[in-house]
Amino acid sequence: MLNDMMKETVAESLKYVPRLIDGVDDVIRLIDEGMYAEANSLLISVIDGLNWSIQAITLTMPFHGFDLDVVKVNESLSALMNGIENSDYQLISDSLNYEIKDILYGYMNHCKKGELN
Amino acid sequence: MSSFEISKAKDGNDTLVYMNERKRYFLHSSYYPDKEAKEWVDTIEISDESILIIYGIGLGYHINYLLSRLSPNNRLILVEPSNEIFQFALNNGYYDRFKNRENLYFISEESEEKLNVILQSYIPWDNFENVIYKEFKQYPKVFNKYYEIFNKCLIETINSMRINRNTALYFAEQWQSNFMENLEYVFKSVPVKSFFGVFKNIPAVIVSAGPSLDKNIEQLKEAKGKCVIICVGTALKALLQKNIEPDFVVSIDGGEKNFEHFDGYKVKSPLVYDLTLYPKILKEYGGSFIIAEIASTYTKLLSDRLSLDFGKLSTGPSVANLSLDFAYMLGCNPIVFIGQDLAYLDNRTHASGTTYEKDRIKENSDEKEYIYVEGNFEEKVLTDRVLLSFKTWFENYIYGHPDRTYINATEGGALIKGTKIMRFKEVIELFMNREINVKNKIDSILKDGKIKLDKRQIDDFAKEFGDAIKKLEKIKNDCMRAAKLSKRMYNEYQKDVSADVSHIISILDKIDKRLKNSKDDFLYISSILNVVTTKVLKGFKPEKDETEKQKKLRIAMMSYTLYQGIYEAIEKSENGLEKLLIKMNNLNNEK
Repeated sequence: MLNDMMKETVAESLKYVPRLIDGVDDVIRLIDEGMYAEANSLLISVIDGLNWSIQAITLTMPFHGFDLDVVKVNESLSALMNGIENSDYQLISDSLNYEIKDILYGYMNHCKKGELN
Repeated sequence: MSSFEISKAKDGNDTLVYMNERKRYFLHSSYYPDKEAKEWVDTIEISDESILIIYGIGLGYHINYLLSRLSPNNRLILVEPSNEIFQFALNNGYYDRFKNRENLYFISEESEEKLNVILQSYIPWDNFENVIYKEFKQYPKVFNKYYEIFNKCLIETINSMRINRNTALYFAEQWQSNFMENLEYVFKSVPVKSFFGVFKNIPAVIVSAGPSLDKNIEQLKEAKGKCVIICVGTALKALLQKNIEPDFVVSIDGGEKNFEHFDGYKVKSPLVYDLTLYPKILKEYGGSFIIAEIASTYTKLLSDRLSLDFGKLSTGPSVANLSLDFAYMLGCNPIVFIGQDLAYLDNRTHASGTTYEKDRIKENSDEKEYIYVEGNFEEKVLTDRVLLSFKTWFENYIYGHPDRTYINATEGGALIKGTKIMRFKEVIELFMNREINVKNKIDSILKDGKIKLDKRQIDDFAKEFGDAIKKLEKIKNDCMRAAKLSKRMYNEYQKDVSADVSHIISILDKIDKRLKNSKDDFLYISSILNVVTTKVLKGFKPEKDETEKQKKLRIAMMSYTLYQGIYEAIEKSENGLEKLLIKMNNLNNEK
């Protein structure tokens, strides 16, 4: 039963994470174009999506075997939050571009290799 | 305490953090500042004509990359809103790769007044449409106050450049023929230079024709004889109807409409003019003439050729701007404005009694045309782009000439920065309480100061002028031939993109060489020629992803337009040039 649930969640995440990466890219692009208000509204959805994805990846770890580096994730999220608090869009863009996307790609690449347990 | 710190980015490069009100902002990437700079630069489209203005230099990574994409011809204007960052980066080697580049200008934390002056000098008037303005990353957000000021100055600068250039192009032909017609009046005129410094510390009132003039025109009678009254042509009728003779009238507009301000009135006041003035005004004017080198390249040409010095006056886009410089050069202090609304009062454009007294701005017209600005007495007044360009000019001038007191006694209209706002009644009580013999001073200068030339000087000039006419005739024939050849080249390319047109090109090269050697002869038709060159320079820009065929056709058509344009310019000018030659020979016979 648990296995089935995990399998379903992983399948769901494999569909969802690429869309989330597109959303992250959109936020980066909007920031680049100086459209901060639009970036902010999309950022809210991106953060929601990140929460769900990180939880899903962590909880289904026995199924896919991808070991999420929690310390690194927390550092990245903390940099992102710091950027949001300061309205420092350079930092928001940097942490999304060079940290968060890395984590999401890492998971996708691992699953694509078919190394599911 | 420093408002910024340098920290290490993930890639080992320095990055920059700016602190403001307990918030921190990365001005470059905190991970890959160098890579980010390259990506940012790659998004900019640059042509050979581009003038780049970059808002935000920081540590200059992006400028280093930008350099590799520029030709020496590209002008680069770099704006760093934080002088602290600018000084640090400059003194610590961050700008070493570009700080000494030719054609590069820095701007850092300047006042609004100074920004206007700087931008006027950094942006070339004949190429402002090629300005590319890029803001680096989050600089506009982090330095948003300065960003707003900078943008305002940039818009105002380009706006006044556009208006000046459009005026020059619009009047080109008219100015040239005016010059030919007006030349004889030079020898009936007194150079404006004779008046420089004559009214040191005497108050001047510059009378403009704005609708608020109605409030002060009666009071001007009290001021008469106690100050120098300088009246712009547009306000002349209004003054004469009230029996007020100004001490000077200033007029330079070359268009026929300008005559309406003088039509039907015999004026005794001397007229300050330039050779581009509409000729009928000089023909029918009752007072004396004072010639100045103002906007006309012809006046300069003439004074150079005849070794005369008329005296220069700076002009902005309006005759009121010019009147301010005239008042300044007279030595006047304080300088008082009345009727200088630079805005619309109840939709009226001008004072009662002027030619335009019935004009109203159109309700519900294009809103973009009208702008609200701060008023002298009202919070906001309605103005437009043209009036705004006059205002910008005044403000720059006042800022650059701080040794006088400037009083705006318009009692309405738009605020001119740098002026004290006072009621005209108070100005009269405070500054105009003793009689000054203004008229006597002016008359004595007018009596002795006429321009005199000896026969030999006029002879030499007439000879040189006659030679130039002959040469222009030859150039005209050359250009007719070159235009035909360019047309042929165009047709050849149209049929076959690889057509061999080397024989045509070699003839065109020879003609070009001859044209280059005739620069001096072109001076006499420079006004009309400017229109041709502007049309050619601005009208044949390469399209993006141009094919070989399109390029060849474009160049052939550009070549045709240029030669045909020069041919027509000479054709249009010949008659006037011939007339002028006759006038000069007559002048000599009168001697």
